[in-house]
Amino acid sequence: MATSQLIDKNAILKSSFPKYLGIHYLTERYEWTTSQLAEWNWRANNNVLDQINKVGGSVRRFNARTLNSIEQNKINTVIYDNQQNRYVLQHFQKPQTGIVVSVPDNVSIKEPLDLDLLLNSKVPTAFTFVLNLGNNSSLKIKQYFHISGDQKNTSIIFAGKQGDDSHLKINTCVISDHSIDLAMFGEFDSGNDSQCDWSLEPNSKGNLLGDVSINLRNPGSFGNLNTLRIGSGNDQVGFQGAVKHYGENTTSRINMRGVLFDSSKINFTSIGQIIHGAAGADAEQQSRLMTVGQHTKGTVNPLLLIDENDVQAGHAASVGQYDEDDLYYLLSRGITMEQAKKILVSNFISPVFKPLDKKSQKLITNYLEGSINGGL
Amino acid sequence: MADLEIKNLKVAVEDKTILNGVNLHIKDGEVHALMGPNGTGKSTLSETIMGNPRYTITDGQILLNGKDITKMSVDQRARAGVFLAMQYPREVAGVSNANFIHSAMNARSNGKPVPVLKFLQDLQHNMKFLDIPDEYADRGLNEDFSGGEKKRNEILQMMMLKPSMAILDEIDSGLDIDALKVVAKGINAMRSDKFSCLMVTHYQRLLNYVVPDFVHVMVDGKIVKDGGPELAKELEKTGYEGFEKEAEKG
Repeated sequence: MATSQLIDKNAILKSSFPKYLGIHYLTERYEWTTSQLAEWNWRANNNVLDQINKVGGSVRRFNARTLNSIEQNKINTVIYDNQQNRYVLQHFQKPQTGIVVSVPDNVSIKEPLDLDLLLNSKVPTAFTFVLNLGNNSSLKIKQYFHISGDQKNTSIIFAGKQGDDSHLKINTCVISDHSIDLAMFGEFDSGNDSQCDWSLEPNSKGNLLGDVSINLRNPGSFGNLNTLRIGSGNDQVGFQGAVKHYGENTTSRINMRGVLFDSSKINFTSIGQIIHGAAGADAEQQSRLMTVGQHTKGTVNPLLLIDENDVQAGHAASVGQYDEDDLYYLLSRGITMEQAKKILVSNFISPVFKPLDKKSQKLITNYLEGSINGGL
Repeated sequence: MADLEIKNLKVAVEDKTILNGVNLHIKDGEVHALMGPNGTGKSTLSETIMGNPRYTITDGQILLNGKDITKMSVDQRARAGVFLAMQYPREVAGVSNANFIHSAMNARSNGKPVPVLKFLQDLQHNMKFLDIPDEYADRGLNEDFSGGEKKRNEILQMMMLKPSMAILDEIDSGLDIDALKVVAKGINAMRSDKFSCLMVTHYQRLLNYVVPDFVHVMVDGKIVKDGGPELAKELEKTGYEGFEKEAEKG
């Protein structure tokens, strides 16, 4: 079924702007219309593109007409799952564009797909990333969104599906050259005994509203969701990250870290959800904010929503400045206050920063340096 | 060179007076030991010299080479040559031991970065000297180090940073005899007319390996007796009880 048939006027009217525990945002900030298709370009490492093409997979730009039925179904699932979410419905009403990464069954691509997505549009962009990873296949993706042009709004939606016994490692790094209001939604669905390891660093300048999840729909699957956001200026960030356990013996780990400079605000909500019947599920999460600036405001809401008895679950959360004793120790060696705070910030983010690839680390370090220099 | 003179120092923590007028003069190249029972203010004195913001100076002066350092920030004091080996070194896993020491050396070298190769050679040499395994250079700062390893790492930092005035706050606590010997070897290697040192300790044991020029006994926030190395030996026999009774009468 085509997207337009799923979303009629009634559906939009029935939907509303999503409400999240502890996340406050201006609804109109992320609402926009355009009839123009946004301009954008992409590039990737040719050797990996060749490998994917050779086995019958593809990495290609799409518009609404060029999706095949599997890919369209994946998008439809996201729409079904977000019937109440007006932003998601509106996203798919706009001129459709994005990229599809498709890998067939029984293929293991060792080298990461290095995917640069250059959203350099004057008009707002509604971009959809579609992933279809076959059974018993593995893929690593390093995805970098570079947002430029004059666009004030960008909406990115992820629609991913993994086959049984598949392994996905994906890193999504977002940066922008100017201040934008970024909305980010979407989900990756697992297969039996599959693994999904998703690191997400939405560090575009400006405001952010995000709600992403890994859905462990099948038994034995594993989901890891890491998030890192640096807040600076007057950024207002509301971000919800969830792993939903539907299948038995599924395992999840969530680690969300944020650093706040200047007068930024960050609200993080992390959700480990275990549906009735998902016996043997194991959900662990951490959600932490470091408030460096004097006028920052951070809140974290760690949630465990559990409808099954036979499970293991735990969470940890914190909001606070650096440790005074740590700072004193560093200063006592002659390191300046500024340098010491930099060390404490990198110390704080290291659990989600260290596993990243070099290029993402560099992009984030550059962004962090700019924020620190303005924010200390 | 470092000449540290403490004059009538009075210090409080949260309105509670801990030091009641301490006088102490450590001249160039001298090693002093400060001894005394628990809770008498030895660590307070160490932390106050370094500039720990928890402690408030209510009276007196701390002069380093004739200049009052009490208004200087912690990092400024460190760059002026003061080093404090802490009783409980912190763990900061996000920065590697080697990078941290290199950054600290760069911060002290007046804008001229310390060449990496030279730094690594010195680091390797000193680590070997202190029996610290190579891989500890790349581990996070004190990350999952045992108590003894942390103390050894404090001495490594001291040897790399080459302070002119080192304060060692109970560097011997929690060390077995082999580790104590290694730590003492590190301190002795630093001894020169350019290095002054204040060792804070409860026990005579460390002083068998690092023989001090002067020994002071602190009781109830004051230095109550000064002497040479023989004073430490005497204390080993008699304990602090006599001094404590004196202080109570006092």
